[in-house]
Amino acid sequence: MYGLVSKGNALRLFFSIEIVINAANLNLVAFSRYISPASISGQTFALFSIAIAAAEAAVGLAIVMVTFRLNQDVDVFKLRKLKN
Amino acid sequence: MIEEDIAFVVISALTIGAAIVSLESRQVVYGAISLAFSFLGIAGLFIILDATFVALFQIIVYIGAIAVLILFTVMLVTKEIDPHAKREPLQPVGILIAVIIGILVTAVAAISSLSNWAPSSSYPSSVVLAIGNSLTSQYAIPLEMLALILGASIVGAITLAKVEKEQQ
Repeated sequence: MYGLVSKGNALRLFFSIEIVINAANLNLVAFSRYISPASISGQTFALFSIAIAAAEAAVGLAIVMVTFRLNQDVDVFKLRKLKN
Repeated sequence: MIEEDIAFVVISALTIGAAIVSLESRQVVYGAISLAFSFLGIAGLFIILDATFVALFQIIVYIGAIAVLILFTVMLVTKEIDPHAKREPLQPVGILIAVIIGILVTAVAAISSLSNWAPSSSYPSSVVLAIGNSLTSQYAIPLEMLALILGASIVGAITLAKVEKEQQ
């Protein structure tokens, strides 16, 4: 969360998104272990979450690459010019 | 179990330390590599939680595919290394949000009965079998939708990233 708000490099933003997703997965699995371990629904959900994070990583990184190709820069503070 | 607690502390330290390094390192490439170490730490935590299949799945998918993808993108996207002044105008906001979330989580964990939980004993003896059963019976439809989502994301990523040939 700290990185998501304060980092200006688009790739660092992406790192922090992955960290947050990992933390959510960890929560899922941990709670499923302690609340209802017989039905391992938390682990199954975590598997889906990992796979969807992989899909989102592919698309997000493609967007970052295209942005770099067009602007030669990945600083999101400078890229605010897109708004105008 | 003392060994379990020691392992938990060590692996958590690795995970959090690697995450901090991945955000604060001077070069983005080092950040990408330490992000892979953070994923490894999370896999270790999954193993402590007896979720062995999820841990291996995480290693294969996150480290094997996503970290490699990130590394390739980082190699392609870094500009020239210029010692520009560190410009993070929103860093105090970030630290404030992190501290607030940390306090909230600690307060919730301390107030609730989390510390009295014991690992339940009704854990399925073969986790892979249980996951396979649930994936093919109860979660079969989400599985197919996941395949569609992955296919669509591959098509989208390739469409976005392909190089247009100049029309002469």
